[in-house]
Order: sequence, then structure tokens, then C-alpha cells
Amino acid sequence: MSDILVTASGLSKRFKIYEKPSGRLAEWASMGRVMRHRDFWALRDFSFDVRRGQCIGIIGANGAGKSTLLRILSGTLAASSGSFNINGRLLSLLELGTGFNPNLTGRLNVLHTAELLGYSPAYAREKEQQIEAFADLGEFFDLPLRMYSSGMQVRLGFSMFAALDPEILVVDEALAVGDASFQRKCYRHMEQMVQDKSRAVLLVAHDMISIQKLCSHVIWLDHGRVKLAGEPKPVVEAYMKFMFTGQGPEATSTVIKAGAVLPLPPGEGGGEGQAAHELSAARNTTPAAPHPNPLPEGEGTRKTIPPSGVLQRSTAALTYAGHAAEIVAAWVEDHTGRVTPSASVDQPLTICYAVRFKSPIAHPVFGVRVSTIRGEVLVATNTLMMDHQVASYTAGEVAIVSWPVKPGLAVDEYFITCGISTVESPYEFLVREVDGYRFAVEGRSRSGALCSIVESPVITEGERAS
Amino acid sequence: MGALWNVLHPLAMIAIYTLVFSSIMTPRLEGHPGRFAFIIYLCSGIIPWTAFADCVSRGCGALVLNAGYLRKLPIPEPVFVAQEAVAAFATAVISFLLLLVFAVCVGLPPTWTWLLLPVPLIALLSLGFAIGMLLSTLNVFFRDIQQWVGIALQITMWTAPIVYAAAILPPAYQALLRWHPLLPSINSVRLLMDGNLPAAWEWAMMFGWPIVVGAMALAVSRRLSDEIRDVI
Repeated sequence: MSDILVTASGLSKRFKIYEKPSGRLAEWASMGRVMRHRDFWALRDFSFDVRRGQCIGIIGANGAGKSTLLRILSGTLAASSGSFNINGRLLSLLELGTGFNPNLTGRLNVLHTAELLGYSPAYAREKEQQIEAFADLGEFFDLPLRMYSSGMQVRLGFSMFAALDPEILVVDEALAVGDASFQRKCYRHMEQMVQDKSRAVLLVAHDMISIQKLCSHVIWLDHGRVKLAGEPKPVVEAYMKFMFTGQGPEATSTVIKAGAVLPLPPGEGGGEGQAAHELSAARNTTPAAPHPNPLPEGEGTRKTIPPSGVLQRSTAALTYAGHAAEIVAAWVEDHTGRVTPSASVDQPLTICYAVRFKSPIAHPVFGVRVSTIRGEVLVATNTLMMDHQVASYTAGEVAIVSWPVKPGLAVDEYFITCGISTVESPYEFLVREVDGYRFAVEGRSRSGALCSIVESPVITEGERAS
Repeated sequence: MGALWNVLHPLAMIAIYTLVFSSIMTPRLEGHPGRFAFIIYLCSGIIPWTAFADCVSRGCGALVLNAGYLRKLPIPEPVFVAQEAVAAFATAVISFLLLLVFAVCVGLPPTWTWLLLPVPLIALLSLGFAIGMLLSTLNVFFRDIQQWVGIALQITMWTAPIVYAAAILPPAYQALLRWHPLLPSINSVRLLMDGNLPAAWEWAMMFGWPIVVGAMALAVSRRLSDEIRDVI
């Protein structure tokens, strides 16, 4: 008995989108010389193994490719490339109703569908009692399906597939319409299925609490690709964070090419940027072009943008990009000025980001925010709040903004949000990257507190009160 | 009433034709004396034709109609078209049983060739299944096909001597009719009803057509079966 029930490697699904049906006709008639479709990749290069005893949760926004994946595995959709192998019987309860016939009674639908799925009528009849009991539909079991509520249809569908006892059960969002007690019953059943390590469950749900409770692994799909996969808690937390940060429709995660370095000529912006809590900005009067060799560091007011790679770019980045400016990179420096993805808890650190202006901006306002993975905000400030007057910039200039941070951030993972606005409307961002970059603060074990601003206690002998 | 309709419909058809063609209109059929000869001729053409037409028109819509199953269950597409072909065959068998009872009642002597009647019916519905497969696959992509099928079926019916005698057609056209895909089966049904055996070329044509169209349907559905699930 093999331990692996499902293996998929490099699964991709491409849909051809035609503007008009005649486009397809034109392609057929021309034997492929005319192209009238565009490709839509619903799933890209998906690989995983499902072992006995695993319950794998698949999460992601609508249209992320979850159902496409499950449909490919259930054999109702052909993959465009890649391969998968299913070792055992897989049944999938896809969406509502699972193709029941509305004119047949619940009982007949069970027998009919079981037969369509290739079960012998004798086996289906043998399971009939069990299905009726699990579905608990009362007299509705012998009434036509068109009289069922959507919840009742799901009860019938799940009961049927549970009773047919597949090695792999695929459940796609369907349970959401069942009532609370039936949902519990289903989840209990799935728990039992995986408990004895002989079967597996693939579950798509938007109910993150159930996903965390039930699943041993969670895969987060985004635009057809795996964004994050692993233990349920961190994946679900990252997903929730992603879903609830910002309200902009445009979510991009453009990755800056590692090693792209912008040269910054010296001399300008001199007066600023020495003292702590002040801004250091390097200025560039000519349009910056990528330079093959990084310039030497530490020349007074000139700063070099480190190759990205050093600081983990967040997978949860949400960018509101205007046309006036762009954030080129962000990074963290430790107390020695070294660029690092993780700073020490006892030492000050500096958060830096580089902004390139694409059009002239008079007196921009630079802002920064630091928050935890759970969304708690620890730093939120900008140059306006700090009464820090910023010079004006012309198109093509690059400013590097450095924010010294006193020691005090607790041991944890943090997200950096960078935002640039103007003095006239400080809350209208020229560019804003929400949770664009991550860094960690490391040190002795974390306490769960948001900050560590208490120093080592002083313990003295007390006098006994008399 | 369910299954009873499968008996009532053909019964009503025979009753109506009997009423119309034995008392109101009385067309004569060459070489077939008797009041009821034309009715038997007509029914033995109409029953296979209806089975074929049902099989094609319902088969053509079968995939779209069963989109719900196709989207959610890994069932091969031909199952749904085959369902329609089998249903049409069952209806035709019931109708023929009634027709044979009627024939005996009006004095036609039973012959052993009646036992061969299912053979041309199977050939005809194999062709119906093949055409249904072809059209239903295309119909998934171009849903108007279903509408055109209705018109095409009407034309096919009236170009062949199904409700009229072949003798009324000009001889040149009669020679052309040899290639009509439905006629070998329908003619064979009539020959078997009269106690005659169809000629060798008729047997060959009867099964040649389904094989040719079936091969086409297979090629098309192989090519498109992946995409059917994408768009349905």
C-alpha cells in the first residue's frame, strides 16, 4: 500500500478566451494560421503530493485557480501541461449539487449518480441506508430534488460521497451552505477519514477557522500559482493579512531584479541626513540609469541601494502606484550600517527606502509604517508629523530615506510599508507599498509582547513593613 | 404515467394513420393490394425515421443539456449521446411490436424475416449516434447548431421516400437515392416487413455509413474532448 495517494507535477491549465464564437471558427477554418484567442492561465506549474492521513486545505481569492486544480484532479478538466497520478478512488463534491437531476428524488439521484460514477447498482443500494441516515433529510429524501434547498442538496451530495468511501475526498466550498450542525458533522467525518491514516481529504474553503482546525497542510493559491504552502497557521495568517490590507484593486508584486544598483552622484542634499531622527536623502540630478558596478558606499551623503535579495520582499505586497514616483527598494541596516534581513533585538536599526521621482514634486512627505504579521502597527509616522521639511525633487531624482529606529521592537517578523505623498494632501499617496518588505528582529525567545522597551529589572532588598 | 407513454404514443400514431389513410384518404401502393398496405408502409418508414430524428436532435443537445454532469463528474461524453440513442431504440422497438400486432390483425402473415428487424434499426441508430456525437461536440462550441439540425432533419426527411412511395420519383433521382444515408436501413425494414431480404449492397451501405461517420465523429471528439470541458 503506497503512502502517496496523489502526485501532481507541473500542472498548468490554460483556457483559450475568444472574444466571439466566430473567432474559434476562424481558427479552425484556417487550420491554426489565424489566431483569435488569448490565453488565460488559471493554474501554473502546480506540484504536490498527497499522502494518506493528510488533509490539505487550499485557500485563495476567487479566481485563484483552486477549483481548476480540483477539477483537473477529479478528471473533469484536462490539464494543459504537467501530469498527475491518483492512486486510489477520488470523489469530488464540486460546487453545489454535483450534477444531480432535479426531477429525480434524492434516493434515485443517489442510485443514478453512483451508477454514472461506475459503482455497481448493488453497491449503491447497499449504501443507500447509510446515505439516508447521514443526510438526515426526512421525507425530502423521497421528494424530487427541485424541491430541495441548496443546503439540502449539499447534505445529499456530501452524505453520498462520504458513504461511497473514497480514498481521496475532494470538497470544494460546498459545505458553506450547509447549516452549522451539518457542517460539524461533515468536518467530523473528514477528521475521521484522515485519522486512521488510510485516506486523504482535499478541501477548499473560505472558512479559515475550519481550515486551520482540520488541515494538516495549507496551500495558498494566487493567480494560479502557489503563493505560500505549509503549516496551516502561518499560511492562513499571511493570507488573511494579504486579504485585509488595503483596499486598492491593483495588487502587484513586482520583484526588483537582484543587483540592480542606482548610482547616486555626491554633493547634493548635503545638509540633511546626519543626526538621528533625521532624514538622509541623496539626490540625483540626472535621470538614474542602472549601473553595472555598485559605487563605493559610505561617502557622506551618498548612499547606495543594496541589491534586493538581501531583504525579503514580502509576498503580501500591495502597491498603489502613481505615475509621479516609485519605490525602488527598501532595506534594513543594523547598528553598524550593514544591510541585513534580521536585526538584533538589543540594537538600534535603520529602515531605508529609495524613491525615484518620475515627475517634479515640491516638498514630498515621506512616510513609513512597521507592522507585525498580525497587522499590529508599531511604527507609523511621516516627515510632516515630525516637522521635517523636505526639499523639492525633479523628475529622475532618487531619494533614499533612512529611518533610525531605537531598540525596542520585540523578536518577531515585521512588514514595512512605504508611502510618499505631498504636503498639500498628505493622505493622497503618490506611491504606496503596503507591507512591501519584511524583516525580522532576532534575539532571545519572543515573549508575545509587541515591544521590548523594558530594561533588565533592578531587584533590591525591601524593608518589611511593620 | 411514465413508461405507459412509450406505448400510447405509437398506438395513437397507428390509430390516426389508420383513420386517415383507410377511410378519409386512400392512397394506393403499387404491388401492395389491400386497404392497410399503405399504413404499414408508412409506419415502417416513420418509426425508424422518428427514432433516427430523435436520436440526432436530442443527441446534438445532449452535451449542453448535461453540462451540469460534465462539469462535475468525470463521465465520458459519449455516454450522454448514447443514452439518447438507446432511448430512441427502445421506443422504436416498442412501436414495431405494436405495428406487427396491427399487421397480423389486418391479415399480414407473420414471417421469420421479422426477427431481423432490429438489425437495420441498430444500423440506423448507430448512424444516429455517430451524427449525434459529431454534432453535440460541435454544438458545445457553436450553440446554434442545434437550431440548424431541426431544419436539416426536415430536408433529409422529404428528400427520401419515407412518407411517400419511391415510385413517384423520377428514375434519375431514384438512382441517386442509393447514396442516401438513411434509405438502406429504412428500405431494409420495409423489405423485412414484407418477408424479403435486403440485397448485399444494401447491407453494406447500411453499415458503411455509420462506420464512415463514426470515424469522423471519433476524430473530431478526440481532438476536442479536452476543450469541451473548458467551455461547457
